Amino acid sequence: MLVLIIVWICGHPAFSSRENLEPLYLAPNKELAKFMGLGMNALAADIFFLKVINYIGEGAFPRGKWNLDWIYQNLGLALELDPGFEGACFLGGMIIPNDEESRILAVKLLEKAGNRTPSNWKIPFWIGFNYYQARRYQEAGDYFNLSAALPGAPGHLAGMRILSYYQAGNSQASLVILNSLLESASKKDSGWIKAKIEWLEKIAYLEEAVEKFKQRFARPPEDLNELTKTGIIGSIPQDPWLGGYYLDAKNKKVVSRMRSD
Amino acid sequence: MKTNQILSTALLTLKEGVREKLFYGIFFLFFFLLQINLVLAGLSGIEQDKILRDFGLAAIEFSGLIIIIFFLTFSFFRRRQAKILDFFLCRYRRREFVLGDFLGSTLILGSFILLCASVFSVFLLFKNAFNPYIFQAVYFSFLKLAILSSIILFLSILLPSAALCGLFGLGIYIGGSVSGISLSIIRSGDKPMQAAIMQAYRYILPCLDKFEIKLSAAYGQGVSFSYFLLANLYAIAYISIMLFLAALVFENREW
Repeated sequence: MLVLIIVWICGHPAFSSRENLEPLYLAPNKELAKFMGLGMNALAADIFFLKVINYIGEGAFPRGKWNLDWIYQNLGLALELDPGFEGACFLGGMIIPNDEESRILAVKLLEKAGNRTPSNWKIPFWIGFNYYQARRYQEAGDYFNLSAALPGAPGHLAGMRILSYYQAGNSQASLVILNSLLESASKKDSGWIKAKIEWLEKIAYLEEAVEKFKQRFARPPEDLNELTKTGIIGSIPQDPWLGGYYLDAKNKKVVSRMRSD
Repeated sequence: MKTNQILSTALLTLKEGVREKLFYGIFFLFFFLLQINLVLAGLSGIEQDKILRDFGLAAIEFSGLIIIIFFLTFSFFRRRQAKILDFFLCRYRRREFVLGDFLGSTLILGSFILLCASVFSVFLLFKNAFNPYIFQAVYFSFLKLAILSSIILFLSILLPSAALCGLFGLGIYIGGSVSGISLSIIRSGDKPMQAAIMQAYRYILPCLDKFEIKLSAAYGQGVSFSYFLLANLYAIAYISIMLFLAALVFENREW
């Protein structure tokens, strides 16, 4: 009987509606965070990091409506408490940014982290990557150069500066960067990069086919199906992110329905 | 001072402790915390190894704290109420009882932490997240809790109830852990008087924040030999003062 009463109370709208209250997104300042962590900074840093993971993961808001200030405050706190927390840098600097606003916050976060761990080559590399995505090639090149000079950096990073200055807005150039990014990520974090590489490789393959079509028929194809009809390619490759590839009507570039940054 | 009396008190305290169901209950709590740790690390997706180590080390210290607050405190008062203490005091000198009781409590704490650390190490080995510096962090947690254990013993003799003693002990643990950051917050606010008072507290309360090396251990970095030595020396000195005070109060107290 008592169990039934508890079940009834839990299911009652007046009781469960509390869950629908709009959450208040506030983050403490760093001193208070250290104080509340009872000196266990590693544990407190993990908690702030997990709060962000939970916020992103629960999917309560679409990506464009994320509370970026709150996200970066929490990640900033995680890094204040644990300056070597690479996961917080990777999340805030590489996974979250997808527009101008988030990239500015990401670069700020990474710059702070870089000041605290100046010997970590990944931080300037990730800053450079954000600048590269923002098409600020000069800054990107400078950071790639800085990263390449640090101990442990992969050798090919030195050439990234030249690539950035080349204003590489095409898929082949992005592939080079993503391959280097794959080296900087741990095994467990590399899944999404591999998917992105596969996605871009297929775009590059289709772009090459479009170029062949242009050379043969002296005009761009109407759509991608024309490439298969004329036998330039056997079939249109499957988009690993399921959005599907198509030919942009205006500029005749190969794109997919899920835009990659 | 008779060493055999100290040792026999210590052994009796240890035997009594490991026979208690609560001892295993708290170990079960630690095991439960490890399971939560596994879920949380799985949720993170990134830095799972680090989160496993951080939460596990905190869980060991948290469980050790519960052993001290709820187990050692209450066992002292239970012995007092059950007149077992009178039996001890008839046979042994009071200062020897204090030393023996502390030694026994430290052995209980030590065996509990060793048990937790062993389980945690196996857990980390299975997850490929083990690094040997974890043992250094566990040892520092043990030192921290041993200091607290000596304070609790002193408070048990001084205060009339176990609950009050436990609350005071918990307060001292929190105060000792945050005294360093509190001092830096006060200093940043340009309040010299408050800073001086806080500085005085910092000398009275144990500097437990100095034993907090879990962060560096999680990254596979140990402390320097001189730091290790100084931390041990500080712990021994603080525990000695607490035991001296406990013995002094105990000698002059009517039961």
